[in-house]
Amino acid sequence: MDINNVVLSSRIRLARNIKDMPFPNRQTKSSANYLLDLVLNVAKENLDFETFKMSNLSEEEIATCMENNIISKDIDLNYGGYAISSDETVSIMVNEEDHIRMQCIITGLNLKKVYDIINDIDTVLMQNLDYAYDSELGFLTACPSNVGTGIRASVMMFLPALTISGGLEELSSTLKNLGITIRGMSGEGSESKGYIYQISNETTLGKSEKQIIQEVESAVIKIYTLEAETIDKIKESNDVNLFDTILRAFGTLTNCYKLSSSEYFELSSLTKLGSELGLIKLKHNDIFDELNYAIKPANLIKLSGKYLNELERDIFRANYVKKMLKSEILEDE
Amino acid sequence: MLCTNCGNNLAVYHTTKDLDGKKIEVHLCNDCMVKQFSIENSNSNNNFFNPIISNDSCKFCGCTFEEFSKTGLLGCPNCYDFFRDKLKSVIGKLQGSTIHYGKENFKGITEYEKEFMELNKQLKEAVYLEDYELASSLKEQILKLKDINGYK
Repeated sequence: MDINNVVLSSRIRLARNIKDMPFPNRQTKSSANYLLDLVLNVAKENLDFETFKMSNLSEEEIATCMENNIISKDIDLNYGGYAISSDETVSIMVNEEDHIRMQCIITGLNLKKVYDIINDIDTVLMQNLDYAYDSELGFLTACPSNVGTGIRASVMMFLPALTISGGLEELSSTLKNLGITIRGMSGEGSESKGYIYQISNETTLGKSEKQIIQEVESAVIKIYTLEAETIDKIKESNDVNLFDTILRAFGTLTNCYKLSSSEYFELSSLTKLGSELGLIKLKHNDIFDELNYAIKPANLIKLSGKYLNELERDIFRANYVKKMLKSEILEDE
Repeated sequence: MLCTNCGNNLAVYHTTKDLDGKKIEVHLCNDCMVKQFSIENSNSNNNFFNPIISNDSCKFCGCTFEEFSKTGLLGCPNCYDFFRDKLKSVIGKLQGSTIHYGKENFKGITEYEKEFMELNKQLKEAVYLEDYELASSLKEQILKLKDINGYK
């Protein structure tokens, strides 16, 4: 099984703060505004990033940014903002839990490349801003769980076989002992939607960035091997009930009249598993990576070009998914 | 626009102040802004920090260790200095280490300081890995570097 069917994306975020300035949880209006202008100006002038203040964005625009993981739900909606690169792979959030949270996301497994990109961005910011830094503790952050490197290296993985077989719980405790966390799609405390999990480093101090990245990547490769082995076992098991559930899910996904986003995630994950098991033949295995973003509420509204209420969104979603998937089906010869 | 205080650097912070009933525009560069609010902070009357200072709170932002224990968040980077010992014990439990081995901030430091930090980092690593032979050689190199640069 191709590793790219299991690994969806690699992401690195760095947390940074400006010295002698209160952290966002203790900011006054003027310090928050000062900081926002300071960081956005540096990103605009020195990195040629496009910049946005949350206070100038509409609710729909904010929702789209959150759905596309450009900003997080913890950003300050009054005094926060973000800067983004022209190819949209790098974004810099201002006034979230820390003054600066920068991230880079690319598809597939390549944390080293992601780190090289974000490290260059960080160096430019470091040359133009006065970072809060301590020679003993490293880069200082609002929460000591991020102090030191301020790095969170995470990889999104699609793990249906390990979830169904129940192997994930045991794996999770083994990983914890290695300093690696596995959690649901939207990060900390979230449940997994569609068998998608985030594998990331737990600690940020006492190790170099290179070491942390290596540890996460080697955990990802181990998990991938286990997932591939479990897929083979499922194939051999000839589990009629599971195969029936998968094909029924595919049937619903390509024929229903309305489709909620949670139902989409459930059915599309089973369909993707069906494709990996060879039960369903699709032209491109990554079609769901694209659909996973497109079917979210704000993105659907953007696609349709007009405001849609919940029911209208569910109908639009069903039609969109149907159209996309039907053009992806490979007919048997 | 240049800083209205020092006139040397580009102003990055713009505000108006009330002086004897007259509104005056103030444009400060980063350095003057930090100086200004550090002075204002000592008078406990400024826009950036609004701390209620007590004996056991951070002198910069007013955050207490009890507040940190409740929220898990510190008030400002200077809290790390004010609560260093208590925090190091928390960090040690949380992170399994209290020493940073990653990327360093070399901005605004001299070549000597940069070299000193690099050797010091290698020394910490050597002690952590219990390579005492390397640690001893690194200590000698640090002493030599200090000597050449006129530091004791």
